[in-house]
Amino acid sequence: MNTADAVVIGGGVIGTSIAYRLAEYRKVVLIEQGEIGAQTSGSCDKAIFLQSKKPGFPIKLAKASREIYENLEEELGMSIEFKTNGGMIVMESEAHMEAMKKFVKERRKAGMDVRLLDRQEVHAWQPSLSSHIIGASWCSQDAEVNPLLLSQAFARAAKRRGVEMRTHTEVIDILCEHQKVVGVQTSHGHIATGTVVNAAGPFASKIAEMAGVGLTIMPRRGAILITEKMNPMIHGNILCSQYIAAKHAASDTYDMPSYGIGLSLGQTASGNLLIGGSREFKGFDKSVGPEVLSAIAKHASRIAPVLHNVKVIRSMVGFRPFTGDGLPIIDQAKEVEGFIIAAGHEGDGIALAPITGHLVAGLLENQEQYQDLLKPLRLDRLQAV
Amino acid sequence: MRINEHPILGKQDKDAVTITYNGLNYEAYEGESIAAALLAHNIRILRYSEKCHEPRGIYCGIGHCYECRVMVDGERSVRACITNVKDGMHIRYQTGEFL
Amino acid sequence: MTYDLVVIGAGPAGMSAAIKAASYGADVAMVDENPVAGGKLLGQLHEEPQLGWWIGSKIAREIAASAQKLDIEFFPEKIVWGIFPHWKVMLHNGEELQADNVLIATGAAEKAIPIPGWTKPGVMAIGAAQTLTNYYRVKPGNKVAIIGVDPLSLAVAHELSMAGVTVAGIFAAPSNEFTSDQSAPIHVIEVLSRMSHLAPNRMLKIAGKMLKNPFMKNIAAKFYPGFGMNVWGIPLYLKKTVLTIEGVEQVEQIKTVKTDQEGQPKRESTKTVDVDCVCISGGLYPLSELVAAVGCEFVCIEELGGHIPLHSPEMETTRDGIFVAGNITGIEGAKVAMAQGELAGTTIIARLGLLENSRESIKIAQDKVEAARQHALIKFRQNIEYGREKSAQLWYAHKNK
Repeated sequence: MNTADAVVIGGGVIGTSIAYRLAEYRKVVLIEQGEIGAQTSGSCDKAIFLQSKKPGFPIKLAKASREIYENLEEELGMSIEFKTNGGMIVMESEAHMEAMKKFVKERRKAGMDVRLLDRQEVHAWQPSLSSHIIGASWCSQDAEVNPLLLSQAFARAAKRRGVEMRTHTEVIDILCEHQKVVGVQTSHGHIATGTVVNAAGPFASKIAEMAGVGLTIMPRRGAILITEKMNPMIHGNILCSQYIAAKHAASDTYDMPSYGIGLSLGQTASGNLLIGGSREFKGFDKSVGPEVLSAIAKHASRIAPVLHNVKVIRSMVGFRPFTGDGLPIIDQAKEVEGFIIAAGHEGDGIALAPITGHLVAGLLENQEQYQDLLKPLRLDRLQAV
Repeated sequence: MRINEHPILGKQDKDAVTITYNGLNYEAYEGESIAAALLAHNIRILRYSEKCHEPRGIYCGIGHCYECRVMVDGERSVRACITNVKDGMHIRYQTGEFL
Repeated sequence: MTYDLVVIGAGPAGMSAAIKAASYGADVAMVDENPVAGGKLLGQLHEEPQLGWWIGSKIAREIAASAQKLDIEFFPEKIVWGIFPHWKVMLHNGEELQADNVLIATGAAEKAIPIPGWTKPGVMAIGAAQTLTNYYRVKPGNKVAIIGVDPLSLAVAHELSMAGVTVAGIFAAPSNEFTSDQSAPIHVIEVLSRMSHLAPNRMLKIAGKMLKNPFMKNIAAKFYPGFGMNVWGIPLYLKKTVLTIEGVEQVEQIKTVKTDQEGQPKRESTKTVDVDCVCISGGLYPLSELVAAVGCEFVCIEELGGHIPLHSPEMETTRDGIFVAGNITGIEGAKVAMAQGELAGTTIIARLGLLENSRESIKIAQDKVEAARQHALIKFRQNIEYGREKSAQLWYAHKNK
């Protein structure tokens, strides 16, 4: 008989983080339709941006997650290429200056180490950037991690804690009796359980539907270009002020750039540059047209002209789980007891993966310390609107 | 390293051009790849790997493995195995350095 | 620019398809990364019974000339960086080729056998050595060691020695996770039996006959001499492999070691051999990135060389208007690739309405592929017919889903 105290659905950074934390208290089975970290968590950039979060709760949540990162390599027992190398948001036009000043002020108020750099300072720190960059915000607490290693590290540590990983296994149905979860039907058999954690990211709505739970998480498509290896030429991670606009624009508002393009630029430990990115609502269609990829390249090489002579070797496309207000949902469904939702991190999955594991464990084990952070992540905050 | 006589293919007769590699002049034949032209002069090192700076040369010979990347007239990452020489071509070994 | 057909890969399969389609009036474009058409044909050089020498570069030149006569537009030195729905073929220089039909004939690449020192300049794939020697007429080395015993490595060893290169030996591939059991002498002997009719060595011929009997196969492996034997005057070591490739900046020497019947090294028997080039022959696999990027479905058929795009007996993939031909559909020789190209070309002109009796013509083209397969001189893989049958069955299963 196949039983578990909790079944986690989804083997990305979120699902593996949850499985790892829950395994401290329960017998956990993790179900993943493909390979660990091969979907959204395998087609994203590596930045852990703090400064890009909105003041108030989003920054509080991101900070809590960022703190866990400090000792995560030691805890998980392997390198995840975590580096505190700072991040900047660059401005191309004077028109953004006033907004940027406010942006920096708000974040300093929230206790973050953020400051405004002028043209000379930007150039001294990032010689690869164009001379038309008039300034940037700089945050020393911004960091980075290799997302591919992150999901593997969580998965391995989870395994050590006894989590059973079932990859290449599809969830066919969530079985409920009297508004209670009783099991999961998979392509490779049935698992009896009273608790299901839906960490299926952009596919979370489909999983929720199986349990009869209404959940609107939309796939927001993002494309990233990957270049050949180069000697270090980018310090830390770079966003442009257009990125912030694109990220926080929920739909096609007037200032939305075409294909939702905003720069995110960083360099991996191997030397490849990751150049993002676009944000579009196109369902689950992975076929990104040449115009989108060209537009990303054009935008990036305007900000960093040295990219003109660097070869792009491939592109990757992922679906970010979009909730509408930029925050994930971590809550138990009202309709069905034992059905937990932990999805909708959109572009912040890497930044928020460590705290998400703790929050789900906190939710299931009724841990007092996490209730403050859980409250604003409830499902009904969205349904009320 | 040239095979001037061949029992089946006979003699070869091609027009010579001049290329430079790392600043030195070499004779090459029209219609041959950069990798072949350099190997004819016993030159095998085309690149130094980006991270560990180890020497690399032609491997797959069909443009697939990208090990033979060289700088040609200022352009990065030209595959020496599938790019033909041209008279006056300036070729340099490549590293991860941005020039 | 709009065409009836865009062919990607101007090797034997791609060129044959382009010529077939263009000769019936189709407007055809052909793209290749290389400066000249021909693909893997360019390096081929072997003797065929009754037919004489097969000089691949000459054949490629002739075919390319016919393509040119038919006004097939050739885009050399162009990288296809993407194919977008219905169907836009994007070239790296910004050009955009539009067509309802795209044939992807990108051929095959070689599997690597990573052993210590294999990244040093002077180590190359056996196919690279073949093209350098026979097409560019440059010696890959003065003294060459070959790792991996298979029909291709034996053929290239012969070609190298014809060109005046000293071949220090053909060594069995080391047994590691990349080569699995291929390196065991018993497997290698089986490979040799597939080409015993070619090898001008009495012992190999006898071995080939012996191997029809599975019991004899074991005996043959056991009694194969540890010191090797000569094929075309080249030492062939089935019970020796290469441990490391050494040299400061480039290849200077190899360390060889004797192996037991299972292919495991006997450490005490290492020996150093001076060479300036090492050729690795790990076998071929279909080069299918573009087909995958287009979203075609794949199947894994070991007998055909691994993952291949699922395709119909008329060479169409699971994406409407995307066709395949040649080694991308399974590892076979140039003549099979040409026949497959012609078949794909026939299907496409039928689709374009340029062909009367299209059913009949397609059947004739299919029979030609079968005939080329039957008469293939070198079988690159065992049980290719079984693999083809499996591929066809999987296609019907897919269609009936």
